[in-house]
Amino acid sequence: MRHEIRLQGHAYEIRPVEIADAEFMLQLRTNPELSQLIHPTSPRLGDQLAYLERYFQTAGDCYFIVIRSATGRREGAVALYDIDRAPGQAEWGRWIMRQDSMGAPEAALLIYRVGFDVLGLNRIYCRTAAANANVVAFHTASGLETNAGPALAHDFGGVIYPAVEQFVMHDRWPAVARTLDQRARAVARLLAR
Amino acid sequence: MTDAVDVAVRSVLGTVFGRPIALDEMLSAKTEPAWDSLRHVEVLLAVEGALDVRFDEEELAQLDSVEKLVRSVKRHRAA
Repeated sequence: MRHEIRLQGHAYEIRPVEIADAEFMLQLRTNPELSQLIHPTSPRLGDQLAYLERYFQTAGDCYFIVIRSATGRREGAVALYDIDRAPGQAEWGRWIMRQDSMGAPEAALLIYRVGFDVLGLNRIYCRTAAANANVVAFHTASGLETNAGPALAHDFGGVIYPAVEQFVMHDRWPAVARTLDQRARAVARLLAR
Repeated sequence: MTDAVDVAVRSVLGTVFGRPIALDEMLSAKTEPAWDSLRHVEVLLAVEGALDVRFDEEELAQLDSVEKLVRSVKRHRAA
């Protein structure tokens, strides 16, 4: 949906996705190195534009571009979607960063800030292909809990992958924020030299 | 012949990952699930501190294996 949420971090910021980002997002999502364990993306720019037009009409869906503040360079994308105000929860994902970006920890921190601090949610979860071990490890190291519920699966273009759901409740958010903020500050120091 | 930089980098990574890194292990983010984006920051800071080098900004995200770290440390020391 169209939204106006912008957040500034230590070295990175997030802003709403615009139609002008379609080509950038297409490049990211069709990069063979980055797209192995995400939902398949049509290589046609027209399809990406149509996807964004549909996204703008979808309630409860906030898609962001991740920007390196010092340079203004677009380095990734991330989203909070299936925002359900009744139970106060949402899923975050569509997370993809340039291979040469150090913005992953801060992108995660900022998307949680959107969910907990801006939207006042109570629970944020993410679903990751189990084979995407580094990302599952990232969420575990961030302080997320793993849902021991029914087995999940992702269908990536007809190929089924077991998936893992990890989540953080509002009362655990300060601890997750501390962990991610510490890393985001460290990255900012590395980039500021 | 033992490569002192290689040994030192593996020692640092052993501390970060909490296990010995054998000299013949091709450790990288692709082979080590715990080498996620959070741990990568730890790796960079630990290697820089222990080997007294400063990585270039453009290479930070790409130094995701023992081999690349060792090569970069040597390049910086030779510069």
